[in-house]
Amino acid sequence: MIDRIPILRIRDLLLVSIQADLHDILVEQLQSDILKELERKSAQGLVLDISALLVLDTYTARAFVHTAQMARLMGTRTIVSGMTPAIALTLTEMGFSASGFETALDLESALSALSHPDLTDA
Amino acid sequence: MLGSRTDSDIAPKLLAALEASVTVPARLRQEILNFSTSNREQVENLAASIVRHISLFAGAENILPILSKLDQATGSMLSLVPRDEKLRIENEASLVVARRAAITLAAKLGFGPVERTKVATAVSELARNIVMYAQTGEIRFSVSLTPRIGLSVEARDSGPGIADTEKILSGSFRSKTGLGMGLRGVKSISQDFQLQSTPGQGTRVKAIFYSPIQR
Repeated sequence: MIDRIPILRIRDLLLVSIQADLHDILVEQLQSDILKELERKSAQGLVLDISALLVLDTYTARAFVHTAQMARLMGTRTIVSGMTPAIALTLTEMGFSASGFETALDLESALSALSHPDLTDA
Repeated sequence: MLGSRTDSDIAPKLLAALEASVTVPARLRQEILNFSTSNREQVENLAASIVRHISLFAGAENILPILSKLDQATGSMLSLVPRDEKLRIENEASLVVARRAAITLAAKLGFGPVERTKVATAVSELARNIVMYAQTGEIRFSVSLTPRIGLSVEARDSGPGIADTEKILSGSFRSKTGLGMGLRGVKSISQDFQLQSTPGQGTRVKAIFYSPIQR
């Protein structure tokens, strides 16, 4: 198992593509890595791309909400992109509210929402 | 490449064995001839297609006999016959393993992508509860093909137990760690749900998922 998810910086955006089978330690590590990176240099937006994930349970989904909240406090807007229909359906049926983080259909729409903030209001 | 050599070897055998039992439509035929054994998702999708096809055209009672023949013909390279499994849950890594096993087993029962994700999510929630509250425990998968295709997921531990299961399931109690939401979630995505817990002795949660093809 890998023990770290890379965070890419493109101008003032942070991009995280989650390809691995997510486990809790990895999620916590990612959370603290993101905060450290934001402390080092501010970012306007953060994209968490989860298109490769097959499963997202409520614990991990809540961890994303927390990450988005913390990033918000540090002046960064977070968008979760690429959620599969299967995950969206499962989370909804489980009663998980999607209001905790912003979502986008895919990476491209997430990036365009972040570079044209006037068009898609947070 | 070794992978492609075994693939070209296995596909005709699989196809021949399947055609000996049921008529194979062109689309499934293509899927069999084009899959790669090294691509887990393709193998899972193919396994699900085969089971759905057998169930619809030969009847659920013929699933096991035909799958056994297919496994025989291919030297169990794909191990298509779904089997009960028992996994020990003790850490993060076992959580990932359990989710993976759930997806594969659900595919072998003909479950589609959404159903597979639901089963794996339930397993993830239950296994996490074990790691968080009881440290160790087990997840048991039991498969049934008749009268309905179903996958039962049972989580057992000898941890501290839950004092008021009613409160947890009704949502009137919310834990800081999210135990309630996980359990309520599993209840709402499964078709049958049982929670038994004795404080000081442990917890048993059983969730059953039925295949949508004959629900």
